[in-house]
Amino acid sequence: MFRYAFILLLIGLAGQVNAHQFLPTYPTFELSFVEGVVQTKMQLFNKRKEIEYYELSVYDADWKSLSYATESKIVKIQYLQTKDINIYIKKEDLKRIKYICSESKIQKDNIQNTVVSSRICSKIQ
Amino acid sequence: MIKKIIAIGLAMAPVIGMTESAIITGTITPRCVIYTETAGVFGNPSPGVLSTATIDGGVQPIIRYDVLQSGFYKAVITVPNAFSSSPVLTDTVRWTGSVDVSRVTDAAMSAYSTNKTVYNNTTEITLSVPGTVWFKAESKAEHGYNKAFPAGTYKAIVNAECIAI
Repeated sequence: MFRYAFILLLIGLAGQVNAHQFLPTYPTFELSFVEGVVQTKMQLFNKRKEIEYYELSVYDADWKSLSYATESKIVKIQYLQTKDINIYIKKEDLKRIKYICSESKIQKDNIQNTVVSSRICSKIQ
Repeated sequence: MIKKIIAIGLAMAPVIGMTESAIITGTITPRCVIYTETAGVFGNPSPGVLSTATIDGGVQPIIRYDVLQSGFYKAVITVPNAFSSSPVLTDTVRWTGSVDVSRVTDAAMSAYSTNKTVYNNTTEITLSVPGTVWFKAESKAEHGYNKAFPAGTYKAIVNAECIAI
């Protein structure tokens, strides 16, 4: 109990650093308004001040890219903004899809010598 | 007069007697948050070496992982094996690097220093303990055989991933 409280406190105090969050961990697909296409809703949260863009990608179990549709594969998201993202895939790809990932995109004019690119992948069970 | 008071009293009674219950629910769901605490800086201890090691005058990139529940995610950290931008280089660059635990919030997390899989320039660690852990990534680039790096700005990228398992 105290451990969870401590973790939540740490997250609450995380205003000094830069974070990237992508939820849910285990997304589930449901029927979309288009026949033969299923959809899931992901949520991206950007707490990285130096990052404005995230790239979405969808993979099978062997990390091979799968085709998918969304509003924009490169998502522009402001600092401290949360964005809901719908991911659409073909119903026949439901058996193949394994990971949905979001990856921070670093701009060329970033002045740091070494920069950290973050990627979070959710898994379809 | 008394009739009016009784009527007002009767009208107020349901309001006075009304209670409401507020239900507070909370759910802890597995999640992983990656924090980039320190981006890191290359030190230049000799003309042909760029290194993030403190002893070489560099700053190590520090990446923090928060996981609320154990066993749902693995951390995958890849140290650079190429510059993302640099001046034109006339010789090959030899890259070395490593990832290690920097700080922990639970003593059991110190096992991450040994319970890890390293391949190529990538380190994989199953986040088996809930809490916060900080990883430091060290990276070193050597140009040819004692060959000086051309003047300019060098940038490299450390990839920090959190993969659901």
